[in-house]
Amino acid sequence: MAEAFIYDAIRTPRGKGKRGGSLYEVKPIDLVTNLLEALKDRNDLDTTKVEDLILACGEPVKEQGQNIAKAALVYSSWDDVTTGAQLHRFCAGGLDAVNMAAAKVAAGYEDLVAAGGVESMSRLGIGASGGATGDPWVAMKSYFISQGLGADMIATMDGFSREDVDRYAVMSQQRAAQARDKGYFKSIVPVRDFNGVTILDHDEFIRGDTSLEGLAKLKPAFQMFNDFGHGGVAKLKYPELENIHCVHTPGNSSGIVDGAGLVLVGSERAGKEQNLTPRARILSCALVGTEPTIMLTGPAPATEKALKKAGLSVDDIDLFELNEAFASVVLRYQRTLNIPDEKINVNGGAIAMGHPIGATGAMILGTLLDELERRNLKRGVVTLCAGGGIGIATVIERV
Amino acid sequence: MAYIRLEKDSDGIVELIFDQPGKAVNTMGREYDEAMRAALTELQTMVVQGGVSGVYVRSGKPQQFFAGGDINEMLDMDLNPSAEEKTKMYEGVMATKAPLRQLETLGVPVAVGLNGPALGGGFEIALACHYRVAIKGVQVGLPEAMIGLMPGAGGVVRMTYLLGMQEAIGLISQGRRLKAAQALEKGLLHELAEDEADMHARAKAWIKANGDAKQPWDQEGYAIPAGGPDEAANQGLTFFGPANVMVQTKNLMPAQNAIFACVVDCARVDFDTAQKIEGRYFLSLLLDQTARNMMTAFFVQMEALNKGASRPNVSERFKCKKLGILGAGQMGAGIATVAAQKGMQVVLKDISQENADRGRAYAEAFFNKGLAKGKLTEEVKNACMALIQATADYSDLADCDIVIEAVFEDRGIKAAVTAECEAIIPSDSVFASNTSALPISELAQASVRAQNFIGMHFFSPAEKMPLVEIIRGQQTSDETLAKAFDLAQQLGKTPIVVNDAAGFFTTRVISKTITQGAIMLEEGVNPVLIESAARDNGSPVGPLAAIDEISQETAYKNGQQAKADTLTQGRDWQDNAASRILDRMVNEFGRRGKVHGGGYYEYPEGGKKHIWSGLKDAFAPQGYTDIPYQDIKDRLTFCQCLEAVRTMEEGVVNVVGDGNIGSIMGIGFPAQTGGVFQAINAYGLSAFVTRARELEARYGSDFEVPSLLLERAESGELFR
Repeated sequence: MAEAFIYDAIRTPRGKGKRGGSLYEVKPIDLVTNLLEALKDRNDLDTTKVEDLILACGEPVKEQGQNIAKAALVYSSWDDVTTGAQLHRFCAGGLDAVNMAAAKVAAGYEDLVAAGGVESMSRLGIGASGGATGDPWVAMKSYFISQGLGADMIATMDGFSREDVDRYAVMSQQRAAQARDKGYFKSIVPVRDFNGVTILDHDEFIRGDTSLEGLAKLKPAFQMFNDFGHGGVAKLKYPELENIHCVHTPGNSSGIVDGAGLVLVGSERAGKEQNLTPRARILSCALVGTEPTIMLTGPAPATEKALKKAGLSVDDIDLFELNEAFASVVLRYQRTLNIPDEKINVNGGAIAMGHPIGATGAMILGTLLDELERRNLKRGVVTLCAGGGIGIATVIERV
Repeated sequence: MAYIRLEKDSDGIVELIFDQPGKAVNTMGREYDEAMRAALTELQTMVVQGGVSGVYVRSGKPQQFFAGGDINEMLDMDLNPSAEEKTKMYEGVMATKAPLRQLETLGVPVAVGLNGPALGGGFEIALACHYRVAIKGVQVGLPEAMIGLMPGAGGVVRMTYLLGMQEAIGLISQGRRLKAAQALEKGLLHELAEDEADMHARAKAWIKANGDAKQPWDQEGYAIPAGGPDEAANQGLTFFGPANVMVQTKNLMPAQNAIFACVVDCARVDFDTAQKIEGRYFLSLLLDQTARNMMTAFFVQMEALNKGASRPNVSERFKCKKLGILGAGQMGAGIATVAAQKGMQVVLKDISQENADRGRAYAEAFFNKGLAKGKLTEEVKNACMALIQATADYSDLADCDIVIEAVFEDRGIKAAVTAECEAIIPSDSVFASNTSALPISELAQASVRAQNFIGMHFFSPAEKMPLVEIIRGQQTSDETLAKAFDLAQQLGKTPIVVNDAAGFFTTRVISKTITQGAIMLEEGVNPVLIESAARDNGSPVGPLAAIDEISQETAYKNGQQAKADTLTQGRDWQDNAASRILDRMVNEFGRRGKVHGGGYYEYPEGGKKHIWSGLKDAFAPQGYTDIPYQDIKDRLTFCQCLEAVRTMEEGVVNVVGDGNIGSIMGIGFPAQTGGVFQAINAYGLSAFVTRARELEARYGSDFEVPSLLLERAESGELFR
């Protein structure tokens, strides 16, 4: 099997995902083409050699609909030979696109593939594309509940208090603010308009001054779902749950933002042909399906599976990047795999910076790689939880 | 005589008259199918030939329109047919629908006259008519969900198209029966009539005036009220609705799931496609064990019970005019409330006027609540209250037809009031003891007229609980039993009849699951799992919460009373898990029940109740005992089913339906099982025995299989 290398990983900054957010005026396709042009320019890339562009998107409808990857390629300056595909694996899509690219390269079917994701949550909010689980019969057979309530279930079952999850959120904010201020986010490519005027060049969602006292004032975001029946459904599946303590708020859950991420994956030969320097190799990838009602417990088993495939253990990993969908997801992951604060999400995460659904996986891969390079460390794991109980993980190693 | 007659009048209106031969009411079964198909073929021909100005659908039965589907025919169907047979069944369902679609698209106006109840299939026929006239006061609706089914002859589709998703789901999944006036308000009926002649006249007048009538859904541009599931206004319904159904039914009632889904699915597509979808959901319920259980218990057995299957053959129906009640506590006052509601004179006697007045005030509070909710008027309340006489004087009972004693569960006190009362009341009056456990024949020893002595076990609160367990003592006469039975029905209660033995039927059976809860708690099983298991079984209340409601203190005292009673009788008394745990709860931890501030649960102010944290230290200090969740669930139900079989073996219960209905309506046995006996049938007799033996091996003799069940398992004879 050939090896798959990461030649570059870039992302847009994350704009607040609502009207008034800096990227609200930007069409999703322009988030993508900004990165396509930057990837081409930064690497002096001969795009005729890039065979495919796989882009994930959580709400692939309307202006994000159909196949935004190919649409963006046609619309950009890239060569017509590059083809494109849209991918949906809920929140895991951005990383799954990279993993699929790596799989194609490792299999020898393709040599150079771009992959990532895009999400304009300000323009197409969560639920914009509907979904099969919205059907009553499907929902009943699936024990479907609000995802956030799954996070509250984890907190309840593991005994994480409101203060525990809020404390984690404060840490995420402080770390992200510091990383932003010190310029650690090397992978950011500013979003510019068609005149070349910069629209946004930094993550605007971060609130470095977040305090425990401030967070404590926020109301639980999923209490209503709990009270309107979803809590009862959860208990039918988890009889040991007496009551669900709703501890997650907008302050300790991932933020709603706009953004895109792009990763260039290729074989050793393809890199050499274009004089590209590999930044890391992808050692292994894994997907797992876990219990779908609680939904958010996939990262630990996905990580274990990926590590096993790579012949590694948790101790061999220098840094972990777990998407901060909700604080309890990270706390359970740390507890399950025994990972100290110092090794995980060291520059903050989605609680501070936001989680543009389809894009996040590709974005945080870049964040991890930047930090491994800055600290001159070797291996890292990127992992996310996703809808339906999906867990995904990728192990990378700097070259 | 044919099921359907077609008679054309001088105005060219063809009357389609349902008159099923040999039946008092029309039902929708095979005979209907054939007759209806033939009738529509003929009607189509007549319309083509010309001279038909309209169709008037009516019943040939006096005061009976149409009763609905033939439940017995459905119960006879194979539950696990082959794929080919299922296809045939589906085709059969579609074939039943077809004539109704033909009827509403004949091209001439179609009116229907409802001269009596139009429920289920009967109302589905009515919905396929353009214009619906009903005599004031008749009941209409689609109550199929109450017996685990759903409408399958277009009722879901037409109701959805007519009223919109939200209203259709509410009416159908709750099986709501509407009075004609209510149905008119909702648009399910078009006109009310005074009597049959008036109804015919109105229906025909409408036909003559509306030659171009069409169903709403066959009119250009018609849209379902409030639109389909993708409308923003319906998002709440489709997002939270399924969860609400699941929570309400604990996901144990397939009909409610199917109805909700079917309504939504139907609203997404055109009318004819929707009919196919409805047929598929309906078929799934025809092949559903839960539906079978509920049809068996709530239709077949309930009907037999109401008709007096357990009533002795005493021809004269008794009507109680004046009811005496001894003891004006919650039970006595509750019975008085109900009796007054039903128009009986009530004498409510207690040892002091003050106590008796307190009981009367209980009734008044009940009526005031109804008044506040608009359920009754001031006049009705005053009339009811005027019927209740509170007294401390035995002589006021002198002309009572029946006296029910609801005094403390103490043989001595009961014996005393029996003697005192019998000295006053007429010699043919019935004396009924409302005890939940004391053997009636033993109590009857205090009576000078043991043939008139009987047990009538009401459930608390008596003004709400629908069941009365009638206990026949050794000397109780047929006449007395018939009177008690008739009184229960007069009070609007469902009577079951059992023979005498300690605990009778219901108390014996429910004590098994309460005890099983205590045994598991003592074993160190997580109490949250015990309670969840009861919930997930479909029990309205868990074994621990049940004691909290009664209060640990009361349960403890009852236990002490039973112990004293047993020892007085010269028999041995053995402590059990329940008594040991109650002892500790009351005497060691001071957790005496909900009314005393908390029992197994804590009741934080403004918060949700939760299991008292001290339970773990008390009963599982080393950590919870881990047993399979399915075992916890099965222990709570199997112990009850097995005890029920024992009561049958001992001759306490003789009619299966009494056991099934009694267990569901009296002691909250999961309704979707069809009751304690039907639950065994549904599980499979042999499979039940195997599972019970597994439980016996793991958890002891409570799960020992009685020989009656072994015999049944061997012979394959179901409990029916």
